[in-house]
Amino acid sequence: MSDHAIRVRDLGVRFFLRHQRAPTVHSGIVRHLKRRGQPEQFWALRHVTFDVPKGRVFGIIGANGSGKSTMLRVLSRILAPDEGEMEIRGQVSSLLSLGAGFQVELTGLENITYNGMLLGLSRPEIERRKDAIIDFSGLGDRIDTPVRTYSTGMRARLGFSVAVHVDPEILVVDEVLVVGDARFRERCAEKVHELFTAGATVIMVQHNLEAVLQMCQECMWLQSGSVRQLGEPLDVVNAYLASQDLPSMAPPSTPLEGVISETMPRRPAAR
Amino acid sequence: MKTNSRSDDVTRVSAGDVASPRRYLREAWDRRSLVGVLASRELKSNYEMNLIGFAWWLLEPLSLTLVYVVLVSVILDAGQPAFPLYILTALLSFKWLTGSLGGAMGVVRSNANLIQDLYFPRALLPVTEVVVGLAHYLVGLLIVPIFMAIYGIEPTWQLVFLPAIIAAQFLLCLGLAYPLSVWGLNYRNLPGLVGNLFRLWLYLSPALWSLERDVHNPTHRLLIKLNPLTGLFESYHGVIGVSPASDTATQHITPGWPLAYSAAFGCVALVLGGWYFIRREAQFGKML
Repeated sequence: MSDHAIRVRDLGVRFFLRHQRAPTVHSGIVRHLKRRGQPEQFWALRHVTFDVPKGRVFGIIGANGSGKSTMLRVLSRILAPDEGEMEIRGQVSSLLSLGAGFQVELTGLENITYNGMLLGLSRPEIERRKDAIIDFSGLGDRIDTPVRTYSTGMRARLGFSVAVHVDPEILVVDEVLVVGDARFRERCAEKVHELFTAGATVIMVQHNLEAVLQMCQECMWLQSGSVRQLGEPLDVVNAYLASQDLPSMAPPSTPLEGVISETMPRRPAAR
Repeated sequence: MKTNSRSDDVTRVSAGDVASPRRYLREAWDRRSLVGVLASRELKSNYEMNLIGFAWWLLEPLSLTLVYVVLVSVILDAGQPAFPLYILTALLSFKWLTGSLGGAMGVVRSNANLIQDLYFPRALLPVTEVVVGLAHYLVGLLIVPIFMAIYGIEPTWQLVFLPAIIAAQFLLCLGLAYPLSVWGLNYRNLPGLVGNLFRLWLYLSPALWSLERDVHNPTHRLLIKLNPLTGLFESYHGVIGVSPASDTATQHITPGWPLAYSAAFGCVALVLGGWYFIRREAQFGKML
């Protein structure tokens, strides 16, 4: 048995560029009659190959439109590959946008159940974790008011709290942690670290390169849908920075274990 | 913790893969509670979960009944004994069908945010629409005893078949909901087109007329019997007791082969439609 959590081989995802929002019945008929064939296509990802060993924190960096989010969607099985193959060992929980499908008319508490079930928990499992989720979100009494009344940051906190309490073996996170306040970001980083120490594999898209250096053990740089570089975070990040004509970064001052407590600001105002 | 048992859960995805039905069904079954959550969300957001909300749903079948009673009984001076109840029985069931199928055509797009951000078996979404329709239908059925009392129709033991008829209709609704939810995503103006086909379908089913009383041409009779709604409507009429016995009397009829045919039709539709849906669902994320 291999100890890979994720194995991706020669993966490609193709999108069709449709200019119309959604075709209508008549435009569909016209297209068939004219035999105009397939619309223009482009590959959001192509020839992507990488492995992620179990228990790693794996970062994905790259410019906007380089295919990072598409990669996460494929790993979460939201998009199917058009080329190549992948193998995933373990249960995946993905956090691509915070509070996907929150029902704003329901209270925060009701949304914990709703969101938890969407993420694959059963009712008793949610019941068991409810207190921990509420506690982690730091929403206090507001948990009983409708989500409609929440600020963006509060929604983000609730969404993240539910997602991390799924206790996934593989956690796929898009860059969604930027919204919470500094204190909450710190708790998120702590939680990611906790999942990682519990043996979970974490795949994250990050624009904050400092965070990549601090949290990740391996890093992949995507450019125009292909892997430009894969390896040590420091090398990859600096190669990426060099390509953008930006100064390179020094290795993180603290080892991974100390990252959370020492480099994350304690006070919300510090950042 | 169950985490340990999940470790050997290996997912392999290759380009062009078609989901294995067995694996897919197991996964959908594991996540079945999602249907209840999504359905109650829809019921809450559309109608408020109270009687007035459900009464609103009844308004359409009731007003359509009035329209057809005026058209058939008053203007054409025709129709069955206990005609309003005869039509209403069929229209309630038909409203369940059209409501679920109409919902199914928009279900992928209206859940776009869930589909783009979360993985779950998409086949549960059309089920949700049919379940929402069923919930409305069951509450709508409560009006039937009132009409039965008005027309002096006694409830009989045949009513025990009602759940079987409902189950057959569920299969049919779901079987049609699957392809329509794919096409509804592909073609945004499909609902308008299908709406008229629904109306035609209603007229070709024994809702305003009766197969026994009104159709005598053998070819027509055969074609009408092939319509899966015929078996359903006739069975509903039979167990409620509004099947015409003569020009003035009604009778109860025990459902038989026509219902079995409708149920079989529903099963075939469900297998084909469901298969088509799970082959297409991988593309949903790209089409939104």
